[in-house]
Amino acid sequence: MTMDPILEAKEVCQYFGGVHAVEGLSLQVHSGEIYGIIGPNGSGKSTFFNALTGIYRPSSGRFILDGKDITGLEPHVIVRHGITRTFQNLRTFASMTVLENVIIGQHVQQKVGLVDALFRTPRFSAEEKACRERALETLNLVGLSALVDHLASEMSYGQQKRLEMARVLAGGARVLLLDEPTAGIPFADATELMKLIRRIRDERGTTIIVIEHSMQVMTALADRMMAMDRGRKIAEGIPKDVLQDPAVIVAYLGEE
Amino acid sequence: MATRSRFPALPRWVTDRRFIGLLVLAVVIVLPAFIGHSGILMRVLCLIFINALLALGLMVITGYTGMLNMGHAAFYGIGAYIAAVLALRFHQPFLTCLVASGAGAGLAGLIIAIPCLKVGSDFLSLITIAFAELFQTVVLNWMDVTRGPMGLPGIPNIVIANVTFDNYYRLYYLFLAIAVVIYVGLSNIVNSRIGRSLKAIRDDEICARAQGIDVRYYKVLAFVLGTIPAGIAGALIAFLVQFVGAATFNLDASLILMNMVILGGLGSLPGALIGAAFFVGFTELIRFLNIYRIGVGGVIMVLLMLFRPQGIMGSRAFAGVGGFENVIRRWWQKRHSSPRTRPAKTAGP
Repeated sequence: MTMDPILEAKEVCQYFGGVHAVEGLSLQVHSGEIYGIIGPNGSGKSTFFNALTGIYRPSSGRFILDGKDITGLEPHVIVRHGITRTFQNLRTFASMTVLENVIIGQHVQQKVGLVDALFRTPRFSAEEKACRERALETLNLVGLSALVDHLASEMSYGQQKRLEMARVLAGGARVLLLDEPTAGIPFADATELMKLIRRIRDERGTTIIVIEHSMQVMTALADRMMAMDRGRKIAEGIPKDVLQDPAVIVAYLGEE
Repeated sequence: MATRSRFPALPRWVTDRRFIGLLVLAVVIVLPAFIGHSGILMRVLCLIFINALLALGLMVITGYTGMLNMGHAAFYGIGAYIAAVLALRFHQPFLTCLVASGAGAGLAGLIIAIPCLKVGSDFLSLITIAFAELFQTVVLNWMDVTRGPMGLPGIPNIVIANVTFDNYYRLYYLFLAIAVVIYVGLSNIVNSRIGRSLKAIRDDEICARAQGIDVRYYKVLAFVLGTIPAGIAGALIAFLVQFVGAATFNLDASLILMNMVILGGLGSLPGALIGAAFFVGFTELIRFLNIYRIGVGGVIMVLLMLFRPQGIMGSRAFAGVGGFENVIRRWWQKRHSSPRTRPAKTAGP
């Protein structure tokens, strides 16, 4: 784990008319770090992810990834720069199989174009095979090997969450944004998922930014974290300190 | 691929798609030996090949990418008129007309795709309908080029390398060859990263972007891939019927093409073939019903939505809660869980 910030947000603001969803947010995430973001509902966490990944264009402020300014770029271009994400309210490709979903996650890594596909060149076949294998490996990692040919729409909530996980992992990006990965799944699965996340960081050196509601999960998972309330950063540091910060407690539990 | 077979009793290779495809192809190749004497049947089959091209193209645009193209017949018409004008006025040989028709329709597809990029599916269908109407208006009024409502008669026979295609046998095999080439081409393209990207855009555009898919590029690509076959089909019909008129390429024709695609099953190229064969064949079969035949297509579509909304080859994900299998399953479950019929058991396995 090095000390250079792989991702920086500088005074990012996201306004929707009069609603200041994100206000003057600055942070630095170091390469290979697991960085947590916590905050009550509506504090702007997912909006921050959306602004970072290009779904929204920030009203002001900058995002710098590895020295490159990626503010306001198109979402698919930002993915090419090496950031992928999961979604809070689960987005999978319903009509395709589990395997195909994970293969799509590798979209930016595939180089073959129309002509290769049309004439079925050896380059094309080799790449398809490699993608399939990587997809199967990743599905094995998250425990979905048995469901490889099932339709994504026919799986349970927990399985679809694991599918989304497999999809981002197969993509092999340097920075993963996980939006509430343990929400809505039983405790045992959540623990397994946390172990997997740590393992990915340890084995691949991936930088991971996690939005979570659960303080338990955050303490176990994050190296450093930040708390948000009403679009602003109200605390930052190691989990133990942040979770005892008076401002954070007020935000979650209210004033006495 | 370790797919679960729906018919475990049969050996795997029998139900393998490629085997069935080759079987169908073999049947189609030898068919003229049995029906070649009947001009009507041969002509119907040529029409099926032409409509297959149309359905395949529309399947790529609507079935794979989810863009509701309600004006596909206009691209068909563009191809037909380009071929007719080139043949009649500029005396171009068939192959030149064929290429020009495909290119012309593809270019039109490219142009129409651009305003369609920014809008949701409902407005997109309006744009395509507007384009179809625009095509009709231009054709009916541009007297110098299209002779308006009078159409362009007298298109000569196809001549390739000094061979004149003046009988149904030759036309049949020529059209079949063209259809096979285009089918294989489209199939190779959609069974790749490109096809996956198109389906991803259909299923969830935002998530598709989040995978790095350039949605705008793929939408335009889908349109072009879909309209080129339509243009080629236009050239074929022009030379088959040896006449082109605006009425063939109206909104009704577009709707029937959409029905073919829906019946076949969104997201399935073989489904497009099935849809085309069904609708063309069926239209001929019910001619004897005279005026009563008009509603039959509608009845079929309603039944389809009730019993198999995903179409014949469509993904189960589109079945929703309707569909034959679900209706039967629910009835079965209800029947088997009623207290009267539930046997008294002590402990389960």
